[in-house]
Amino acid sequence: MGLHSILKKLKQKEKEVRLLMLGLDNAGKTTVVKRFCGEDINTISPTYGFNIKTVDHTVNNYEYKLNIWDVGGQTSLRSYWRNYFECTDGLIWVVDSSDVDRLEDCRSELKKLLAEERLAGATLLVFANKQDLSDSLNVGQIKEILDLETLKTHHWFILPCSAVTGENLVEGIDWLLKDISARIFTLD
Amino acid sequence: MSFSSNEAVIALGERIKQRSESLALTSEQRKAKREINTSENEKSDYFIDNFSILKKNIEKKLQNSTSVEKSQIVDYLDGLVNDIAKMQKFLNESSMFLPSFQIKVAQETINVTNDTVQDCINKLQPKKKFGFRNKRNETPKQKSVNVLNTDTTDNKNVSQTSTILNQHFREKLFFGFKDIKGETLTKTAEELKNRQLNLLNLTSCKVIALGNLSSMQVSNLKDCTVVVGPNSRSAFIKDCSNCVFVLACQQVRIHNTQDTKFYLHVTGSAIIENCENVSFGPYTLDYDEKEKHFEESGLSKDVNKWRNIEDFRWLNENEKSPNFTLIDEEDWERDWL
Repeated sequence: MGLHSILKKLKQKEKEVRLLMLGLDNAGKTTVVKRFCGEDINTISPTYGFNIKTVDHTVNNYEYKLNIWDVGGQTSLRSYWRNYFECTDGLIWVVDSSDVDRLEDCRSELKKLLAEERLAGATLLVFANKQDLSDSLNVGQIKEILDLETLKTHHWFILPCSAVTGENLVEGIDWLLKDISARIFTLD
Repeated sequence: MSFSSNEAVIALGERIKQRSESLALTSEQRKAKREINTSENEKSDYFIDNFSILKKNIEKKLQNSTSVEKSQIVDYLDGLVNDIAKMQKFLNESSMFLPSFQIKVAQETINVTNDTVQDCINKLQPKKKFGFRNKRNETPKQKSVNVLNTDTTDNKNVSQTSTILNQHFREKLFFGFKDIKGETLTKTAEELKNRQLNLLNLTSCKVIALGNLSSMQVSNLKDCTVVVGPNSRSAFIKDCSNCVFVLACQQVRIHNTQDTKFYLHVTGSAIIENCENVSFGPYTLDYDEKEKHFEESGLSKDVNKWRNIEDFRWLNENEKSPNFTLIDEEDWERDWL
């Protein structure tokens, strides 16, 4: 039995998936993770470094073990993002849809990531967050600004969401897991 | 080992070498394409654009070179040589911020263009002036010129983004204040309900927004005082100087700000990044409906972490960051309205 098939079997047994949450600071990455895991979101501080969350999640009767890496987005932390690229199955890019001022920044940071060789195999899920705010851009506008339609190198999907109300978080993660498992695990 | 099999081994080796070379070439080409497509660095976009303008210019001149008057041909060709030198100079100057691969590609483009120009000179230049050129073997350097067509860059996206944003501003009306000097600006609790308050480019203004808002974005304020009620979520403040902020919220991020005071009620925490001489005190604001607005905001009244400031640019755990201070109790200001 080759090493590859052993590894594949091991992964299959546990269905372990590594997700990396990135985005500009104040996008709501930690709030997305905490809301998804059902934790209190009122005491969240700006992320200094990173958090790892391990959570079980079931999609289509398959149980997955998610390792979610939530890395801080402050300018001074962005250069460390690349330390987390290795072995990433899914990239979750969180956008603050109400931060009109920095969308250009947001676009260029995402483009930089997608050019990374070590993220070449990762599926991309974009959360257009903060949709509960009345001043937010809609998902179509975010899609256009991020130039997603021309993206051919990654499987991608964008969803409007609100980490505060919880809207669409589960739907997004479900899509991500289905896409990843179609690539990594041979579903029977 | 017999002679013939030895030869076969050499031939095989030769084939393998050729194959690996051609593989390397195609992968390089693919890489070139990819790198050009994904290159989003503005500087390198700027470089590519201008570089290809220079290149096109030379190509055009080359095309027209056959129709130039005999008397002017020397100057015309000199101009071409100058253009090549200009291209080289532009590349040298830009090499600091370009990825090495792009430098390589650009250098190759210059070489190819230079060869074409030299060929053209050999053909058109009056022979006696450059007689020695004839002695040189005319090397057949017609490399595949079309390998490097760097013309297709995606600069359009930038303008596209700004059109969308302009639309947004026109359609949805920017909520808040911008580009104002020397005024007192107020928003009522009704207006603020579940809105994001934006403050942009204000000088010497006083902003009073008493009510429960959802979040706040502040950028480029000078000599301003900003007094706001409980903010359910986060405040994002950047590029301010010589201001005073009185605000309550869950998180505060402060970037690139100098000589500014903050009187905070913060239930999560406040962070600074690239700031100098900023100081912090507790939320000393009092007004009639404060309790009601606190309740609406969902912020805990009992938790205030205004003392726990984190400086993202100060990694030394043993020493306090020199960029911020806490204001002494006797110096707390209380009169805001």
